[in-house]
Amino acid sequence: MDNEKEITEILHNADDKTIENITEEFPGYDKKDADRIYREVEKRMALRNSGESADSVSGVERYKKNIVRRIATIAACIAFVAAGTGTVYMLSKSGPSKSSSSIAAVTENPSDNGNGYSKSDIPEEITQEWLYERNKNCLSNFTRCSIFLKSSNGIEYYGIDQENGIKLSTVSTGSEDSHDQMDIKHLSYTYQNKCVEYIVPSGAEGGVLIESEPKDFPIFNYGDLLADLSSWSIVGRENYIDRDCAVIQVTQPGESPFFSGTDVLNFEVYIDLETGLFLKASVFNNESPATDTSAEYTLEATSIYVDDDVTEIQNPKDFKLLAEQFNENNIDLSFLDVPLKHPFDSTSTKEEPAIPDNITKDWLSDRCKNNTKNFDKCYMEYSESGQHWIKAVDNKSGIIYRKSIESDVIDYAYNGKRISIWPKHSDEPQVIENPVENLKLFDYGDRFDDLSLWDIMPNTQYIDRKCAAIRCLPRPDDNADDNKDIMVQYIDLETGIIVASFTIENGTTLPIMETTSFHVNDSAAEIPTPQDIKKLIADGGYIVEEGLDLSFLDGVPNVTAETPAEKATGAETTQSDSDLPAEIDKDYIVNILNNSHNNFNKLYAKTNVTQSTPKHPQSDIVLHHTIQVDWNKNYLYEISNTEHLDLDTFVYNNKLIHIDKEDKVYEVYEETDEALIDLFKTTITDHRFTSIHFRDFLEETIANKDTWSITGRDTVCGRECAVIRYKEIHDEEEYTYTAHIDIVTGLLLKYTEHTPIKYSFYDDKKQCEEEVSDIQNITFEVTELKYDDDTPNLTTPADIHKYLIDNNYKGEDLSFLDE
Amino acid sequence: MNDSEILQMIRENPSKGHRALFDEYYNYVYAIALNNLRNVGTKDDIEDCVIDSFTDILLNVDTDRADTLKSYIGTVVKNKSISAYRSLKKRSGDFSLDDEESRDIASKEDVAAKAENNALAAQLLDHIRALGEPDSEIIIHKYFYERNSAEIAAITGLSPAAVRLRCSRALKRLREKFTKDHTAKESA
Repeated sequence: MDNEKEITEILHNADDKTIENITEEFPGYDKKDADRIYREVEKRMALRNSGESADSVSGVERYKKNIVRRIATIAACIAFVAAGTGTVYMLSKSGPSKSSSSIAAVTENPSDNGNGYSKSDIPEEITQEWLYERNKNCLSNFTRCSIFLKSSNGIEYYGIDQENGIKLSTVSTGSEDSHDQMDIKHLSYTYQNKCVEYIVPSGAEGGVLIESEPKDFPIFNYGDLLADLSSWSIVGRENYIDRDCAVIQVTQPGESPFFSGTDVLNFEVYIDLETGLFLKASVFNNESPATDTSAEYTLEATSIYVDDDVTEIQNPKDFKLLAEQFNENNIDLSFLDVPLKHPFDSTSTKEEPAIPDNITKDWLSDRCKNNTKNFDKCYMEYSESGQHWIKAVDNKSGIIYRKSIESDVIDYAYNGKRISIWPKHSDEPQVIENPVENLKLFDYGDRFDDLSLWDIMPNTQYIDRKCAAIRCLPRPDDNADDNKDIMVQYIDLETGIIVASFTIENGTTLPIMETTSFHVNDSAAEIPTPQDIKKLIADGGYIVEEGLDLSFLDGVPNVTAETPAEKATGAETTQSDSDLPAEIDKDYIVNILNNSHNNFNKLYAKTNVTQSTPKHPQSDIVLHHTIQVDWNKNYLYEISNTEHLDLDTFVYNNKLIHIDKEDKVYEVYEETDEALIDLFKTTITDHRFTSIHFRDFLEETIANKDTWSITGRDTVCGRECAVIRYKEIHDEEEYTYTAHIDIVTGLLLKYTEHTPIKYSFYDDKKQCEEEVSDIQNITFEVTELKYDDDTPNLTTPADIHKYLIDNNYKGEDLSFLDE
Repeated sequence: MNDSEILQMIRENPSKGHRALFDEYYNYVYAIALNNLRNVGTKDDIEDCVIDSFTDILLNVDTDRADTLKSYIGTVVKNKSISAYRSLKKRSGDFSLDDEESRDIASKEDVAAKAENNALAAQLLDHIRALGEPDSEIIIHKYFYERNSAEIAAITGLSPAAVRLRCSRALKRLREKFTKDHTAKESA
């Protein structure tokens, strides 16, 4: 067997029996995909039950894809709306992505529309008063809703988007003759209090568009239907189409606003507890409601989607395109041209943007003045005064670096000192000290304080960066000749850094400074570390100015981690200066990593692991664990503090216990090579505390010092760390990792990975598979850390044994815990 | 839940029973549809076939049936997937419905080659099992279900990076085991 292709071919050509074995042993069950598919199954079953043929049901999907074919006919309206009554692209669920997203699973969104409602509002015990209010005020329970119903009228659909003032309803029936379309009898579209209807008169083949008055859909307006509590009672609580419902029976004289043609309120209803809507209703015979179980009229929701689960209710612009096809009466449809107040954005998150939509002078001034807060690292190449430069800062490590390409001069500031390194053209010292205060990169002082001296021009881009362009007038008190012209400056909005400056002289725009390359944070190129500079000086044989002490390049940075990147979590520094080595080089790192187990006996830590992709934030994963380690007694305990992940691990005596707290079972494994290693668990192989991310690095990479570099220092949990950066090639792609190593204990305290990934998802609007290139971010971080005497009482093997027995966990023999 | 319990539930509460049947057999139906259509259709087409199959199954399941549900369900999904296979092939233009041979896709294959593949598949499965979890799971999800690292990560609880790492190491071990087996056979 040579390669992956062979495995694929063997498995793909397996016989049915093998497939059965595989699917039984290795279920590929993805609950979210399964739920989505089941909803589609329900819809097709409902459609078939309404009279459609088998062909037409399966044809709905295909017909939706052939929507263009129907545009010229009445069916065009059916097609788009039928998308709402059938398999629903525009009006269906699944949040941002209708079908398979290949990235990590989309977490289900609880219906929290920000209007004060959430599922947690549903009390344990439902009272009539609560249910009445819930039903009466149903519109306050959601912002958007999309509901499909099967009734004696046919298939009904109701969609409402309260934010944008859109209401859409259809009533349609299946046609016996046409197998792949549905006949719409009635459609109503309301946008911002103006309404049009499409009506097919009785006996007519086609319909027309008419003006109409906006209507309240009965399904969303019950009024005081349930006000008389004595006329109805709660008889049960059921799950209906995966919705938690109260079942009530109503018996009272009167006219139902919901079921036309009845003169008695005599029905059984399933009320959705989340929305307060009727999902199922059966109207019984007037005369014998108590005994006659044959309903005269039924209404059953086949699916319902609320708020985040609703993709766009048909927007007015798209509706107008179709409505115009049937506008024989030339109704004024201009009201549909009004833009949406809240355009639908399937990928939007609820987070506040860092950069506001409207940039004010105050905001921009502050952005520039305090720009060190806006980024950790910046690396830019630019031209100025006819020369080309590189300048870079690392706010966390306190490094400032500038290099002139033409003259090859380097300026380097670190730890409160600055040196300039000149080319070796003479015997004069090339490494000299210069005032650090004169090397101010991105420090604009009070330049923007006087708001009257500059104006913001419309937002613009500069070298693919979102920028504000400002027009600056000369300062009235500045008499220097070269400061009398108007300047135009481009300010990068993310960082608050000026990326270009121009002066306008006699109507001519002249460049002062133009950036050609600009990178921030993780995309910034590696900035030379103090150790790199020291090595450059030593290897290059540069003459150092007499009396200039370069040991400042070895020291700990004076800069605290007050930057936008993760901050140390409040833990005070527990190390004394005497604990910290003067010099950190690769040999030192290799040594402490390999001997970390000798540097402490006990450990207590809390860890977080987060995984995210920027383009699909809803699939972010966060895991929390508590780790306890006692090297002397050779045990490790990892506790899951993650909601819905109740799996703990206890390792002792070369055995691993996998504890499932939800099902109250445990399994015991022999600790074999790799078999039990999991990303979010640790291992005591060779008494080495590490996470899987770093295991290969330790075992395979660390010895090869060419593959990694020390890029600086940082603190994590009050511990001084060396920051290491390394790259790995896997499947012909390059992955970059950063690791923070405790420079005293040699433990991995933080790890980050930013790797390019590709995944595909189904784009509803384009109706095709889209492949997305994205960056996957993974961070492992220790958020709390205690060693040895500072650790709390750790859970011992005997404690675990007792816990499992006392709590009636099922599993194998645990006598090894008492050894 | 066994078949009898599922059928009983369908009789008493069709809605719940249908969901129970779906949950029990979703994986099986999906695997068959995937295996038959992966070379001719998209993921959408496969899901379409699954949806069609279950719609038929749930609408027509005979709650008084004597044989197992699996055989009935397997028959439905195979027929649906063959039908879908033909449509998709026709759509791609390289399949003729009039072709007698095309009526039974399986018959196009060489019987001997199939037998050999079945033996290889059984052997491969044994080796995959021997990898232990989660490596065995990763290999199956990657090469049978054709999921990517991110999807596998979500299923296994690992990170995509760990999935990739483990996958490549597992593959290496699989190769070693296969080579060892093959060498042993040759020298036997």
